[in-house]
Amino acid sequence: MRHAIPTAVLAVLPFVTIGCARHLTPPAIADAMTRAVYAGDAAGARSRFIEALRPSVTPQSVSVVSARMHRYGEYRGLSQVSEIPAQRRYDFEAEFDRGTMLIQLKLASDGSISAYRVVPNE
Amino acid sequence: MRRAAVIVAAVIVNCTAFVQSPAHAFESSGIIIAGSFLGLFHHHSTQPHEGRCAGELHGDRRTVAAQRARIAELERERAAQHARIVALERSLANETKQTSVGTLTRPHPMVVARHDPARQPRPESYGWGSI
Repeated sequence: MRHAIPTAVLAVLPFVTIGCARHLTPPAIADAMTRAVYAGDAAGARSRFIEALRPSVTPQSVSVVSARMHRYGEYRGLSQVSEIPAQRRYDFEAEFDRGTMLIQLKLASDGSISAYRVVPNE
Repeated sequence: MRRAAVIVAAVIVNCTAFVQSPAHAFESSGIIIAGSFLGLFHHHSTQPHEGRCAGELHGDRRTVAAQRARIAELERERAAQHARIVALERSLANETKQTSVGTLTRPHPMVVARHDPARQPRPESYGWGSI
């Protein structure tokens, strides 16, 4: 009986963790995606996209975008600048050591990414 | 407090006058008291009370501080709105034409008109999917 509550908590914890992972906020999704692309993690980046876009997320394309990001130095994080909730469209300002980039994100209804674009600052 | 001191002083003067000359005591005391009240009235009408001045000064400082805080808040809002406008302009420029990964996209004509006079490089867009 003494161990009943901790055991119950441990039993429920994995489900809570899975639930949280599935309901990431748009900034968290954008940050995770940006970190994956910045690191050149093609598999990690591909897994976040909708099924239709996954074939286009190749290691080569990821390395192109990653190289663009590395021009600005080390990735520091991002902050949201605008959103269109009805369209699930979000814009973020990604901060790097030597500048910022505009991150445009569009989400599908299931939370996967239907568009992710990076716009370097002029 | 000051008025009470003046009245007490007037009473003392009156008593002294009464001892010296009882016939003129009431007359002199009346003059003294009336003069004291006139003096007090003049003092109040020309110079504000110290407590009221301090209160007004304190109130003015609070007002100035509140106005400065409001100005700072408005400046922060302005900076945030400017950042949003810049981001939206860039977003608009990117949404007009998007191509495949790594290729140059042409900005919106309005943005070109605004930025091209300085011959600045056009915004490029990289990524996957259509915004």
